[in-house]
Amino acid sequence: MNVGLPGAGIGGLYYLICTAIMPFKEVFLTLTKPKHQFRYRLVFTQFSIASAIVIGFIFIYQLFSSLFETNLSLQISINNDNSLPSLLFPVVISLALLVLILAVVELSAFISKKRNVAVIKK
Amino acid sequence: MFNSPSSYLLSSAGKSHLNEQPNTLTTPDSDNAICPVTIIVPAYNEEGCIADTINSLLTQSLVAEEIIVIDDGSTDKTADICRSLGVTVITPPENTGSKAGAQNFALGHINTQYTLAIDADTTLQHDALEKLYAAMSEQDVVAVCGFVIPQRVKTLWERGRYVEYLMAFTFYKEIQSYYEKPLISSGCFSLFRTEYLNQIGGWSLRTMAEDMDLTWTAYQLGKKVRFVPDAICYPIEPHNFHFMRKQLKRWAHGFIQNVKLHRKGILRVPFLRSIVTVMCWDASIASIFYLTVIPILSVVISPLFLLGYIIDLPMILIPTLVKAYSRGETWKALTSIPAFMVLRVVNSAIFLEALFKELILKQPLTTYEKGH
Repeated sequence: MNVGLPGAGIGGLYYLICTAIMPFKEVFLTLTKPKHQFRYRLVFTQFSIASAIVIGFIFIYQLFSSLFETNLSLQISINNDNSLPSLLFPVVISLALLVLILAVVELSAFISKKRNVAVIKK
Repeated sequence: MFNSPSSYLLSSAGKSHLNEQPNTLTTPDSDNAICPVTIIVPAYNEEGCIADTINSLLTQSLVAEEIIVIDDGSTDKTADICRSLGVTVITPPENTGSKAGAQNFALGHINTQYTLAIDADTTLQHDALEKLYAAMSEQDVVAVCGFVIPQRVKTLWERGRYVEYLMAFTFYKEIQSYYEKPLISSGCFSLFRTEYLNQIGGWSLRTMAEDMDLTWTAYQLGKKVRFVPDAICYPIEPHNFHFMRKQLKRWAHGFIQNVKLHRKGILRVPFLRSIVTVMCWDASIASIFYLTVIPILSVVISPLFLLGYIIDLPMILIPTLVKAYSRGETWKALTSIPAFMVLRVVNSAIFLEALFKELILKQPLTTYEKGH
Protein backbone atom coordinates (compact mmCIF):
# COMPACT_ATOMS: atom_id res chain seq x y z
CA MET A 1 0.00 0.00 0.00
CA ASN A 2 1.42 3.34 -1.05
CA VAL A 3 -0.16 6.75 -0.89
CA GLY A 4 0.77 9.91 -2.74
CA LEU A 5 4.03 9.85 -4.62
CA PRO A 6 6.03 6.66 -4.16
CA GLY A 7 9.54 7.29 -5.38
CA ALA A 8 9.73 11.05 -5.35
CA GLY A 9 10.51 13.48 -2.60
CA ILE A 10 12.46 13.41 0.62
CA GLY A 11 11.09 9.95 1.42
CA GLY A 12 13.42 8.49 -1.18
CA LEU A 13 16.34 10.39 0.30
CA TYR A 14 15.42 9.17 3.77
CA TYR A 15 15.50 5.54 2.64
CA LEU A 16 18.85 6.08 0.91
CA ILE A 17 20.31 7.41 4.15
CA CYS A 18 18.82 4.51 6.10
CA THR A 19 20.53 2.15 3.67
CA ALA A 20 23.85 3.95 4.01
CA ILE A 21 23.67 3.44 7.77
CA MET A 22 22.91 -0.28 7.49
CA PRO A 23 26.49 -1.61 7.07
CA PHE A 24 27.72 0.43 10.05
CA LYS A 25 24.80 -0.66 12.18
CA GLU A 26 25.42 -4.25 11.21
CA VAL A 27 29.11 -4.07 12.12
CA PHE A 28 28.18 -2.45 15.45
CA LEU A 29 25.61 -5.17 16.20
CA THR A 30 28.06 -7.92 15.28
CA LEU A 31 30.70 -6.47 17.57
CA THR A 32 28.44 -5.73 20.52
CA LYS A 33 25.97 -8.63 20.42
CA PRO A 34 27.66 -12.05 20.49
CA LYS A 35 24.64 -13.89 19.06
CA HIS A 36 24.08 -11.43 16.21
CA GLN A 37 24.72 -12.79 12.73
CA PHE A 38 25.88 -10.31 10.11
CA ARG A 39 23.12 -10.09 7.50
CA TYR A 40 25.48 -9.93 4.53
CA ARG A 41 22.93 -10.67 1.84
CA LEU A 42 20.36 -8.12 2.91
CA VAL A 43 22.87 -5.36 3.63
CA PHE A 44 24.84 -5.97 0.46
CA THR A 45 21.73 -6.06 -1.74
CA GLN A 46 20.19 -2.92 -0.30
CA PHE A 47 23.50 -1.06 -0.27
CA SER A 48 24.11 -1.99 -3.91
CA ILE A 49 20.62 -0.84 -4.91
CA ALA A 50 21.09 2.45 -3.05
CA SER A 51 24.52 3.00 -4.64
CA ALA A 52 23.11 2.35 -8.10
CA ILE A 53 20.28 4.81 -7.39
CA VAL A 54 22.78 7.51 -6.38
CA ILE A 55 24.83 6.93 -9.53
CA GLY A 56 21.61 7.07 -11.55
CA PHE A 57 20.71 10.39 -9.96
CA ILE A 58 24.12 11.86 -10.80
CA PHE A 59 23.70 10.76 -14.41
CA ILE A 60 20.15 12.16 -14.64
CA TYR A 61 21.25 15.42 -13.07
CA GLN A 62 24.12 15.83 -15.54
CA LEU A 63 21.82 14.99 -18.43
CA PHE A 64 19.08 17.40 -17.40
CA SER A 65 21.57 20.15 -16.60
CA SER A 66 23.06 19.96 -20.05
CA LEU A 67 19.59 19.87 -21.65
CA PHE A 68 18.45 22.96 -19.79
CA GLU A 69 21.63 24.90 -20.38
CA THR A 70 21.67 24.04 -24.07
CA ASN A 71 18.02 24.71 -24.81
CA LEU A 72 17.11 27.44 -22.38
CA SER A 73 20.40 29.04 -21.53
CA LEU A 74 19.29 28.58 -17.96
CA GLN A 75 21.88 28.60 -15.25
CA ILE A 76 20.37 26.05 -12.94
CA SER A 77 23.52 25.34 -11.03
CA ILE A 78 25.36 27.61 -8.65
CA ASN A 79 28.45 27.61 -10.78
CA ASN A 80 28.09 27.40 -14.49
CA ASP A 81 29.74 24.04 -14.66
CA ASN A 82 29.12 20.52 -13.44
CA SER A 83 31.51 20.66 -10.55
CA LEU A 84 30.82 18.82 -7.35
CA PRO A 85 29.41 21.82 -5.38
CA SER A 86 26.81 22.54 -8.09
CA LEU A 87 25.90 18.89 -8.21
CA LEU A 88 25.44 18.77 -4.47
CA PHE A 89 23.31 21.92 -4.23
CA PRO A 90 19.87 20.30 -4.76
CA VAL A 91 20.89 17.39 -2.57
CA VAL A 92 21.91 19.75 0.23
CA ILE A 93 18.58 21.59 0.00
CA SER A 94 16.62 18.30 0.16
CA LEU A 95 18.82 17.03 2.95
CA ALA A 96 18.34 20.20 4.97
CA LEU A 97 14.59 19.89 4.55
CA LEU A 98 14.68 16.26 5.61
CA VAL A 99 16.81 17.02 8.66
CA LEU A 100 14.45 19.84 9.64
CA ILE A 101 11.38 17.60 9.36
CA LEU A 102 12.99 14.76 11.27
CA ALA A 103 14.19 17.19 13.95
CA VAL A 104 10.63 18.45 14.42
CA VAL A 105 9.38 14.86 14.76
CA GLU A 106 12.07 13.93 17.26
CA LEU A 107 11.39 17.09 19.25
CA SER A 108 7.65 16.28 19.27
CA ALA A 109 8.45 12.76 20.44
CA PHE A 110 10.67 14.14 23.21
CA ILE A 111 8.02 16.61 24.40
CA SER A 112 5.35 13.92 24.27
CA LYS A 113 7.54 11.60 26.37
CA LYS A 114 8.22 14.33 28.93
CA ARG A 115 4.52 15.10 29.19
CA ASN A 116 3.68 11.44 29.74
CA VAL A 117 6.31 11.18 32.46
CA ALA A 118 4.89 14.31 34.11
CA VAL A 119 1.35 12.90 33.99
CA ILE A 120 2.51 9.58 35.50
CA LYS A 121 4.37 11.43 38.31
CA LYS A 122 1.23 13.43 39.15
CA MET B 1 2.17 -31.91 13.30
CA PHE B 2 4.25 -28.83 14.10
CA ASN B 3 2.70 -27.27 17.19
CA SER B 4 4.96 -24.25 17.06
CA PRO B 5 7.18 -22.50 14.55
CA SER B 6 10.16 -23.47 16.76
CA SER B 7 9.33 -27.17 16.54
CA TYR B 8 8.88 -26.74 12.82
CA LEU B 9 12.31 -25.12 12.50
CA LEU B 10 13.89 -27.98 14.46
CA SER B 11 12.33 -30.55 12.15
CA SER B 12 13.99 -31.74 8.96
CA ALA B 13 11.53 -29.74 6.87
CA GLY B 14 12.23 -26.62 8.90
CA LYS B 15 15.99 -27.07 8.68
CA SER B 16 15.81 -27.44 4.94
CA HIS B 17 13.73 -24.26 4.88
CA LEU B 18 16.38 -22.39 6.84
CA ASN B 19 19.19 -23.65 4.64
CA GLU B 20 17.56 -23.11 1.30
CA GLN B 21 18.52 -20.30 -1.02
CA PRO B 22 16.03 -17.56 -1.89
CA ASN B 23 13.70 -18.13 -4.83
CA THR B 24 14.17 -21.90 -4.72
CA LEU B 25 11.04 -23.91 -4.26
CA THR B 26 10.73 -26.58 -1.64
CA THR B 27 9.09 -29.88 -2.34
CA PRO B 28 5.70 -30.33 -0.65
CA ASP B 29 6.31 -32.01 2.66
CA SER B 30 4.93 -35.20 4.06
CA ASP B 31 1.23 -35.61 4.85
CA ASN B 32 1.68 -34.87 8.53
CA ALA B 33 3.17 -31.40 7.96
CA ILE B 34 0.17 -29.73 9.54
CA CYS B 35 0.57 -26.46 11.39
CA PRO B 36 -1.77 -24.85 13.94
CA VAL B 37 -3.03 -22.28 11.46
CA THR B 38 -6.56 -21.42 10.41
CA ILE B 39 -6.83 -19.67 7.08
CA ILE B 40 -9.68 -17.21 6.76
CA VAL B 41 -10.86 -15.93 3.40
CA PRO B 42 -13.48 -13.18 3.40
CA ALA B 43 -15.43 -13.36 0.16
CA TYR B 44 -18.18 -11.39 -1.50
CA ASN B 45 -19.19 -12.42 -5.02
CA GLU B 46 -15.84 -13.96 -5.86
CA GLU B 47 -16.97 -16.89 -8.03
CA GLY B 48 -14.51 -15.88 -10.76
CA CYS B 49 -11.38 -16.31 -8.67
CA ILE B 50 -12.15 -18.09 -5.38
CA ALA B 51 -11.40 -21.56 -6.78
CA ASP B 52 -7.84 -20.54 -7.68
CA THR B 53 -7.37 -19.10 -4.20
CA ILE B 54 -8.64 -22.22 -2.43
CA ASN B 55 -6.61 -24.52 -4.69
CA SER B 56 -3.43 -22.59 -3.91
CA LEU B 57 -4.21 -22.94 -0.19
CA LEU B 58 -4.87 -26.66 -0.49
CA THR B 59 -1.56 -27.27 -2.24
CA GLN B 60 0.61 -25.44 0.29
CA SER B 61 3.77 -27.24 1.43
CA LEU B 62 2.62 -26.74 5.01
CA VAL B 63 -0.99 -27.74 5.60
CA ALA B 64 -3.27 -25.50 7.66
CA GLU B 65 -5.61 -27.10 10.16
CA GLU B 66 -8.65 -25.46 8.68
CA ILE B 67 -9.65 -23.17 5.83
CA ILE B 68 -12.68 -21.01 6.50
CA VAL B 69 -14.37 -18.96 3.80
CA ILE B 70 -16.62 -16.21 5.09
CA ASP B 71 -19.33 -15.87 2.50
CA ASP B 72 -20.36 -12.29 3.23
CA GLY B 73 -23.78 -12.38 1.58
CA SER B 74 -22.64 -13.31 -1.93
CA THR B 75 -25.35 -13.50 -4.57
CA ASP B 76 -23.30 -15.70 -6.89
CA LYS B 77 -21.89 -19.23 -6.56
CA THR B 78 -18.99 -18.35 -4.26
CA ALA B 79 -20.22 -20.53 -1.37
CA ASP B 80 -21.06 -23.51 -3.60
CA ILE B 81 -17.62 -23.46 -5.23
CA CYS B 82 -15.92 -23.36 -1.82
CA ARG B 83 -17.99 -26.23 -0.43
CA SER B 84 -17.24 -28.32 -3.51
CA LEU B 85 -13.54 -27.83 -2.79
CA GLY B 86 -13.98 -29.17 0.73
CA VAL B 87 -13.38 -26.07 2.84
CA THR B 88 -15.56 -24.73 5.65
CA VAL B 89 -17.99 -21.99 4.65
CA ILE B 90 -19.56 -19.72 7.26
CA THR B 91 -22.12 -17.04 6.59
CA PRO B 92 -22.82 -13.98 8.75
CA PRO B 93 -26.53 -13.24 9.39
CA GLU B 94 -26.20 -10.26 7.06
CA ASN B 95 -23.52 -8.61 4.92
CA THR B 96 -20.94 -7.17 7.32
CA GLY B 97 -20.13 -4.29 4.98
CA SER B 98 -16.36 -4.65 5.03
CA LYS B 99 -13.52 -7.11 4.83
CA ALA B 100 -12.66 -6.40 8.45
CA GLY B 101 -16.25 -7.15 9.47
CA ALA B 102 -16.17 -10.52 7.75
CA GLN B 103 -12.78 -11.37 9.28
CA ASN B 104 -14.05 -10.47 12.75
CA PHE B 105 -17.02 -12.75 12.24
CA ALA B 106 -14.61 -15.60 11.52
CA LEU B 107 -12.42 -14.82 14.54
CA GLY B 108 -14.91 -16.47 16.88
CA HIS B 109 -14.57 -19.72 14.91
CA ILE B 110 -10.78 -19.94 15.19
CA ASN B 111 -9.29 -22.41 17.65
CA THR B 112 -5.70 -22.46 16.41
CA GLN B 113 -2.69 -20.54 17.65
CA TYR B 114 -2.23 -18.72 14.34
CA THR B 115 -4.53 -17.14 11.79
CA LEU B 116 -3.69 -16.53 8.15
CA ALA B 117 -5.79 -13.79 6.57
CA ILE B 118 -5.88 -13.82 2.81
CA ASP B 119 -8.04 -12.06 0.23
CA ALA B 120 -10.39 -14.11 -1.91
CA ASP B 121 -8.63 -13.03 -5.09
CA THR B 122 -5.12 -13.84 -3.89
CA THR B 123 -3.17 -16.97 -4.68
CA LEU B 124 -0.01 -18.07 -2.90
CA GLN B 125 3.30 -19.48 -4.00
CA HIS B 126 3.21 -23.09 -2.81
CA ASP B 127 5.62 -22.52 0.10
CA ALA B 128 4.35 -19.09 1.16
CA LEU B 129 2.59 -20.28 4.33
CA GLU B 130 5.61 -22.36 5.31
CA LYS B 131 7.86 -19.33 5.07
CA LEU B 132 5.56 -17.06 7.02
CA TYR B 133 5.10 -19.72 9.69
CA ALA B 134 8.86 -20.08 10.19
CA ALA B 135 9.11 -16.34 10.92
CA MET B 136 6.68 -16.70 13.83
CA SER B 137 9.27 -18.49 15.99
CA GLU B 138 10.06 -15.31 17.93
CA GLN B 139 7.57 -14.83 20.77
CA ASP B 140 7.11 -11.06 20.33
CA VAL B 141 6.23 -11.37 16.66
CA VAL B 142 2.47 -11.01 16.26
CA ALA B 143 2.20 -10.57 12.49
CA VAL B 144 4.17 -11.66 9.45
CA CYS B 145 3.62 -10.53 5.89
CA GLY B 146 5.08 -11.45 2.54
CA PHE B 147 5.97 -10.09 -0.88
CA VAL B 148 3.04 -9.02 -3.06
CA ILE B 149 3.10 -9.30 -6.85
CA PRO B 150 0.04 -8.70 -9.04
CA GLN B 151 -1.39 -11.89 -10.50
CA ARG B 152 -2.38 -10.25 -13.78
CA VAL B 153 -0.23 -7.64 -15.50
CA LYS B 154 -2.04 -6.57 -18.64
CA THR B 155 -3.85 -3.25 -18.36
CA LEU B 156 -2.25 0.11 -17.69
CA TRP B 157 -3.40 0.04 -14.07
CA GLU B 158 -2.18 -3.49 -13.42
CA ARG B 159 1.18 -2.62 -14.96
CA GLY B 160 1.48 0.49 -12.83
CA ARG B 161 0.72 -1.50 -9.72
CA TYR B 162 3.20 -4.19 -10.77
CA VAL B 163 6.06 -1.66 -10.86
CA GLU B 164 4.88 -0.05 -7.64
CA TYR B 165 4.97 -3.37 -5.78
CA LEU B 166 8.30 -4.49 -7.22
CA MET B 167 9.87 -1.19 -6.23
CA ALA B 168 8.27 -0.86 -2.80
CA PHE B 169 8.76 -4.47 -1.65
CA THR B 170 12.31 -4.71 -2.98
CA PHE B 171 13.62 -1.46 -1.53
CA TYR B 172 11.33 0.35 0.92
CA LYS B 173 9.85 -2.64 2.67
CA GLU B 174 13.22 -4.38 3.02
CA ILE B 175 14.65 -1.30 4.73
CA GLN B 176 11.59 -0.96 6.96
CA SER B 177 12.04 -4.62 7.80
CA TYR B 178 15.74 -4.19 8.58
CA TYR B 179 14.81 -1.49 11.10
CA GLU B 180 12.09 -3.85 12.40
CA LYS B 181 9.19 -1.61 11.44
CA PRO B 182 7.44 -2.76 8.25
CA LEU B 183 4.86 -0.03 7.66
CA ILE B 184 2.01 -2.46 7.07
CA SER B 185 1.39 -6.15 7.44
CA SER B 186 -0.48 -6.40 4.14
CA GLY B 187 -4.19 -7.05 4.39
CA CYS B 188 -4.18 -9.37 1.42
CA PHE B 189 -1.78 -11.90 2.96
CA SER B 190 -0.62 -11.94 6.58
CA LEU B 191 -0.15 -14.49 9.33
CA PHE B 192 -1.18 -13.42 12.84
CA ARG B 193 -0.93 -14.75 16.34
CA THR B 194 -4.60 -15.42 17.14
CA GLU B 195 -4.08 -14.38 20.75
CA TYR B 196 -3.01 -10.93 19.54
CA LEU B 197 -6.05 -10.60 17.31
CA ASN B 198 -8.30 -11.45 20.25
CA GLN B 199 -6.39 -9.11 22.53
CA ILE B 200 -7.02 -6.07 20.31
CA GLY B 201 -10.58 -7.07 19.43
CA GLY B 202 -9.87 -8.26 15.90
CA TRP B 203 -9.67 -6.11 12.81
CA SER B 204 -10.74 -2.60 13.63
CA LEU B 205 -13.58 -0.92 11.76
CA ARG B 206 -12.54 2.60 12.77
CA THR B 207 -10.43 3.27 9.65
CA MET B 208 -10.52 2.29 5.99
CA ALA B 209 -7.08 0.65 6.30
CA GLU B 210 -7.54 -1.96 9.00
CA ASP B 211 -4.21 -3.61 8.18
CA MET B 212 -2.31 -0.41 8.88
CA ASP B 213 -4.29 0.15 12.06
CA LEU B 214 -3.51 -3.36 13.25
CA THR B 215 0.21 -3.02 12.46
CA TRP B 216 0.64 0.34 14.16
CA THR B 217 -1.29 -0.88 17.19
CA ALA B 218 1.13 -3.79 17.47
CA TYR B 219 4.15 -1.47 17.55
CA GLN B 220 2.57 0.68 20.24
CA LEU B 221 2.04 -2.46 22.33
CA GLY B 222 5.73 -3.32 21.98
CA LYS B 223 5.08 -6.20 19.59
CA LYS B 224 6.98 -7.04 16.42
CA VAL B 225 5.93 -7.45 12.80
CA ARG B 226 8.06 -9.29 10.28
CA PHE B 227 8.37 -9.14 6.50
CA VAL B 228 9.40 -12.31 4.67
CA PRO B 229 10.34 -11.40 1.08
CA ASP B 230 10.49 -15.02 -0.08
CA ALA B 231 6.85 -15.67 0.85
CA ILE B 232 5.05 -14.50 -2.25
CA CYS B 233 1.37 -13.89 -2.87
CA TYR B 234 -0.39 -12.91 -6.08
CA PRO B 235 -3.51 -10.77 -5.71
CA ILE B 236 -5.69 -9.59 -8.58
CA GLU B 237 -5.28 -5.83 -8.78
CA PRO B 238 -7.82 -3.30 -10.11
CA HIS B 239 -7.84 -3.60 -13.88
CA ASN B 240 -9.52 -0.32 -14.78
CA PHE B 241 -9.69 3.26 -13.58
CA HIS B 242 -13.08 2.81 -11.92
CA PHE B 243 -11.85 0.13 -9.54
CA MET B 244 -8.37 1.58 -9.13
CA ARG B 245 -9.86 4.91 -8.06
CA LYS B 246 -11.98 3.17 -5.43
CA GLN B 247 -8.98 1.32 -4.03
CA LEU B 248 -6.67 4.34 -4.01
CA LYS B 249 -9.38 6.42 -2.40
CA ARG B 250 -9.79 3.83 0.35
CA TRP B 251 -6.04 3.63 0.91
CA ALA B 252 -5.56 7.41 0.98
CA HIS B 253 -8.44 7.96 3.41
CA GLY B 254 -7.26 4.98 5.44
CA PHE B 255 -3.75 6.38 5.74
CA ILE B 256 -4.97 9.81 6.84
CA GLN B 257 -7.41 8.26 9.31
CA ASN B 258 -4.63 6.14 10.80
CA VAL B 259 -2.27 9.09 11.12
CA LYS B 260 -5.03 11.02 12.91
CA LEU B 261 -5.85 8.07 15.14
CA HIS B 262 -2.30 7.03 16.04
CA ARG B 263 -0.45 10.35 15.84
CA LYS B 264 0.35 10.43 19.55
CA GLY B 265 1.01 6.71 19.82
CA ILE B 266 3.44 6.45 16.93
CA LEU B 267 5.50 9.31 18.35
CA ARG B 268 6.68 6.74 20.87
CA VAL B 269 7.84 4.36 18.13
CA PRO B 270 11.26 5.23 16.66
CA PHE B 271 11.67 4.80 12.89
CA LEU B 272 7.91 4.39 12.41
CA ARG B 273 7.38 8.04 13.34
CA SER B 274 10.05 9.05 10.82
CA ILE B 275 8.74 7.02 7.90
CA VAL B 276 5.17 8.13 8.54
CA THR B 277 6.25 11.77 8.67
CA VAL B 278 8.27 11.69 5.45
CA MET B 279 5.42 9.79 3.83
CA CYS B 280 2.97 12.51 4.93
CA TRP B 281 5.27 15.16 3.50
CA ASP B 282 5.74 13.41 0.18
CA ALA B 283 2.09 12.53 -0.17
CA SER B 284 0.91 16.09 0.50
CA ILE B 285 3.54 18.78 -0.16
CA ALA B 286 5.41 16.88 -2.89
CA SER B 287 2.07 16.00 -4.53
CA ILE B 288 1.07 19.67 -4.65
CA PHE B 289 4.42 20.51 -6.23
CA TYR B 290 4.06 17.61 -8.63
CA LEU B 291 0.56 18.51 -9.75
CA THR B 292 0.89 22.31 -9.87
CA VAL B 293 4.43 23.69 -10.00
CA ILE B 294 5.75 21.35 -12.70
CA PRO B 295 2.82 21.90 -15.10
CA ILE B 296 2.94 25.68 -14.54
CA LEU B 297 6.69 25.87 -15.20
CA SER B 298 6.31 23.68 -18.26
CA VAL B 299 3.67 26.03 -19.70
CA VAL B 300 5.17 29.34 -18.61
CA ILE B 301 8.87 28.67 -19.20
CA SER B 302 9.51 25.50 -21.17
CA PRO B 303 8.11 22.00 -21.73
CA LEU B 304 11.51 20.79 -20.59
CA PHE B 305 10.27 21.20 -17.04
CA LEU B 306 8.08 18.15 -17.68
CA LEU B 307 11.30 16.21 -17.19
CA GLY B 308 10.62 16.84 -13.51
CA TYR B 309 8.17 13.96 -13.68
CA ILE B 310 10.97 11.53 -14.36
CA ILE B 311 13.74 13.10 -12.31
CA ASP B 312 13.47 10.30 -9.73
CA LEU B 313 13.58 7.59 -12.38
CA PRO B 314 16.58 5.81 -10.80
CA MET B 315 14.66 5.45 -7.55
CA ILE B 316 11.91 3.60 -9.41
CA LEU B 317 13.86 1.83 -12.11
CA ILE B 318 16.69 0.23 -10.14
CA PRO B 319 14.81 -1.65 -7.38
CA THR B 320 12.15 -2.64 -9.92
CA LEU B 321 14.66 -4.07 -12.36
CA VAL B 322 16.64 -5.84 -9.65
CA LYS B 323 13.55 -7.82 -8.65
CA ALA B 324 12.23 -8.18 -12.19
CA TYR B 325 15.57 -9.56 -13.38
CA SER B 326 15.62 -12.19 -10.65
CA ARG B 327 12.13 -13.25 -11.77
CA GLY B 328 13.00 -13.21 -15.48
CA GLU B 329 10.57 -10.36 -16.07
CA THR B 330 12.91 -7.53 -17.07
CA TRP B 331 11.12 -6.64 -20.28
CA LYS B 332 7.70 -6.72 -18.63
CA ALA B 333 8.96 -4.37 -15.91
CA LEU B 334 10.64 -1.99 -18.34
CA THR B 335 7.55 -1.67 -20.50
CA SER B 336 5.42 -1.13 -17.41
CA ILE B 337 7.38 1.89 -16.10
CA PRO B 338 5.28 4.47 -18.04
CA ALA B 339 2.13 2.96 -16.53
CA PHE B 340 3.55 3.55 -13.07
CA MET B 341 4.16 7.20 -13.91
CA VAL B 342 0.49 7.53 -14.80
CA LEU B 343 -0.60 5.65 -11.70
CA ARG B 344 1.31 7.87 -9.33
CA VAL B 345 -0.10 11.06 -10.84
CA VAL B 346 -3.57 9.63 -10.19
CA ASN B 347 -2.44 8.46 -6.76
CA SER B 348 -1.25 11.98 -5.86
CA ALA B 349 -4.47 13.63 -7.01
CA ILE B 350 -6.59 11.14 -5.09
CA PHE B 351 -4.50 11.62 -1.96
CA LEU B 352 -4.89 15.39 -2.09
CA GLU B 353 -8.64 14.99 -2.56
CA ALA B 354 -8.77 12.64 0.43
CA LEU B 355 -6.69 15.06 2.51
CA PHE B 356 -9.06 17.91 1.66
CA LYS B 357 -12.12 15.84 2.56
CA GLU B 358 -10.72 14.38 5.77
CA LEU B 359 -9.05 17.49 7.21
CA ILE B 360 -10.81 20.52 5.70
CA LEU B 361 -14.35 19.34 4.94
CA LYS B 362 -14.33 16.87 7.84
CA GLN B 363 -15.94 14.26 5.61
CA PRO B 364 -14.25 10.97 6.51
CA LEU B 365 -14.74 8.00 4.25
CA THR B 366 -16.81 5.47 6.15
CA THR B 367 -18.17 3.18 3.46
CA TYR B 368 -16.03 0.27 2.36
CA GLU B 369 -16.08 -0.14 -1.40
CA LYS B 370 -14.39 -3.10 -3.00
CA GLY B 371 -11.42 -2.16 -5.15
CA HIS B 372 -12.09 -4.90 -7.69
